Amino acid sequence: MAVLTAEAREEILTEWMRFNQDTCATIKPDLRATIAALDDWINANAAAVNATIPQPARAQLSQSQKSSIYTNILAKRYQKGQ
Amino acid sequence: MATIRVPIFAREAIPAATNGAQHRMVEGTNYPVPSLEFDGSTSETAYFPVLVLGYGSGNLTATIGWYADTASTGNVVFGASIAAITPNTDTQDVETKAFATEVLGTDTHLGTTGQRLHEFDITINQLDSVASGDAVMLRLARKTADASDDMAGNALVTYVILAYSDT
Repeated sequence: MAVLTAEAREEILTEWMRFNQDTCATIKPDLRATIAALDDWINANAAAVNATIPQPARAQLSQSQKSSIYTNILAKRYQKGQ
Repeated sequence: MATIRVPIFAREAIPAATNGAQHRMVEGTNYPVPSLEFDGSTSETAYFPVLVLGYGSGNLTATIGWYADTASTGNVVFGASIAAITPNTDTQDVETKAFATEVLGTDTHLGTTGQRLHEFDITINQLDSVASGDAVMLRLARKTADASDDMAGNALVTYVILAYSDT
């Protein structure tokens, strides 16, 4: 899978700004750069992340399910209120 | 010669039917804080009705009072424009009246406290032949597509003061 389109990245920025309730000292251009960098990294390392998942789950889970688990782990580790 | 200042509070404003800046009420620690919420990504608009009683001549000044929802740095760009109708004189249909050219203004978050109150002026020099006693609609829009508008999150407008000379 290729990196997200510019439109998709902009949608992430819009959604994140509406979701965020905490004080943010980062301006929009720097937020865009953050989203781009993370998307680039995810794209470059997707195969390695997938290879980390042990079998048989790696074969049984769909891409969507794997990403959902990954997202939940990040939220549990790093987001407030978790 | 004097300057007439007409305050128009957020609660008096009318959000646009499409992409309107929405009314918001925050239950602050000691009192409620009403505002109009201008999104950080989508350009949103609100309308402020005002009667320019005693208008003499010259440009109008719109002073925008606002604070940042979540940001503590960055710039906001707003556009202001007016539509003026002289009652009993203008034959213009009220419901199809167009606005004069929009004028832009930029303000910078002053930092230190994220939700501190800011004020900045937009000089409206596109006057639509405004005359004393006119029914004026002031249109205010956040210009998020402008590259200079880089403040993240909502800009919350609490009031607008329209000022003009009486001579």
